[in-house]
Amino acid sequence: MSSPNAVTLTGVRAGYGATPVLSEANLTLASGECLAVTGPNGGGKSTLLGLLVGLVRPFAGTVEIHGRSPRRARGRIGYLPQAARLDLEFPMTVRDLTAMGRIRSTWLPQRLRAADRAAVTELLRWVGLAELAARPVAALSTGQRRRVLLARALATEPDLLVLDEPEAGIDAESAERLQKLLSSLIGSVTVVVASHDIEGTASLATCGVTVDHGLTPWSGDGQQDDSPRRAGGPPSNTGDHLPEHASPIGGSM
Amino acid sequence: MIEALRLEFMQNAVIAAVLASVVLGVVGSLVVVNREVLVGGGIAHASYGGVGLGFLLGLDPSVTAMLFGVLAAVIMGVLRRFVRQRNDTLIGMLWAVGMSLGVVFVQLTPGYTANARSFLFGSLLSIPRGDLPLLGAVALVLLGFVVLYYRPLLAHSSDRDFALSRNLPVFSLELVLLAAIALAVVVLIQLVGVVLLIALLTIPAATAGLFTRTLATMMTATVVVGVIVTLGGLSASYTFDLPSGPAIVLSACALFAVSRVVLLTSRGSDEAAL
Repeated sequence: MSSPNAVTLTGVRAGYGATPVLSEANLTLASGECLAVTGPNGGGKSTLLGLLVGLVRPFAGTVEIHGRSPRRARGRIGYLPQAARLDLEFPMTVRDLTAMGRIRSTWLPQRLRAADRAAVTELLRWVGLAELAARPVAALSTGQRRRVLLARALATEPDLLVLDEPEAGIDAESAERLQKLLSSLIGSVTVVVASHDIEGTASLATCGVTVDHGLTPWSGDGQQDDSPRRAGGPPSNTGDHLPEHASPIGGSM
Repeated sequence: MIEALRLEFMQNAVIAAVLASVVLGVVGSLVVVNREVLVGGGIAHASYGGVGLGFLLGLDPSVTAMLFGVLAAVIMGVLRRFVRQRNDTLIGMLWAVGMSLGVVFVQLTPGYTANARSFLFGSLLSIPRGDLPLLGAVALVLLGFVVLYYRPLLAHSSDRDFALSRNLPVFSLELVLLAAIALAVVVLIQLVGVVLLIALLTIPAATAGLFTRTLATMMTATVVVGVIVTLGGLSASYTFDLPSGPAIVLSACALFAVSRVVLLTSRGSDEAAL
């Protein structure tokens, strides 16, 4: 039976090597919610996202995605990494990159089926890049690259979409276009988005959390929510706030 | 040169060159896009230990080199994953240890061992017909592997984190990729030898990469470039009485330089036209 929560972190301590970056992190997120993850550089935002995607293993505590470990849930998680991690010298077209999202987790040989190709074409049309499908990824602008990576993440048909600073390095017009794409997803898929841009992508969130070596949830009025069932880790002094229209975390966190 | 094709050793050399081009097209492209050039060099030099062991035990050095190369590849893959040590340091160790073992084994081998030198610098003109089935089998295995696993390889090579997030067997793919490099090494050693092999693994793929925009077309173009440079080098070797290994590497280097100039010239004229 699947868990009602899309994401559950319980007493998680995690980091790299022997150095913990996150301590005593607790979090619950209901299906269909959009969680904004804010906080200072080095505070643990990417570690939190890595935990959700299964790229980082906790030293202690548990992480569950729809009641399963991230490793078991990976097939249903869409992940948009930071743009800087993409190797621009790699010979690959926009279509190739998007079609990567259709790869299945199996040892068996696999080829793209007609349904996969149709899904890729449809997604590229949705992000406005259908005409650039045969273009090398390296020839795209930064904003276009973020959109094709979003298309790849969605090609996985995810239950949970994890976005790591989707608007980083792109101009205002591209950021606005990306926000419109993301806003149309809210409600249909659970979204976790790490962002420095409180006015931008994070403004789409229905709830939020500041990550600074621990997790501090924020309510809709921008105030720290001290509810013990929600919060985990030390309070943050970064001054990050969720925008006014973001709803209280209530119930889901 | 056409006359020479009637000679059996020349026919063997041409067939070996074409088969080797398939191998370097597939594996060379993967080596270049994965930035594993040093790994290729490390496995090549480590496999010389197998050459020496073959001479010492009276076995076929090509087979023992293949086994040694695959063993070195697996050791390298496991060490990279489980030992906290810089990657280039580990490669350097395997590189030097393999070469040292090869030299020691050859030194310990009683009798005539001058043939061991052909494994250092290659000797395409002296490949016996009996080695061709092994080259063909390796080429077929590598080609089949890439055709069947192209999409997982693409994900693994271009974005490892994404491949992990899709639950692909990333570590296994890494080991298989290293083993593929080891198999390719055995084939390419025959052409250019252990010392020059790193050039053949990289230069044709780098040349093809100048004109291609997908991994599949890069592999195909690298096969074509491979055929051109190996047969060009073979021709130069026969015509001017040069050692075949260095002649092939210099042909590859010349084609890369010409391609670079052509590319720069065409881009310059495109910009001037704007």
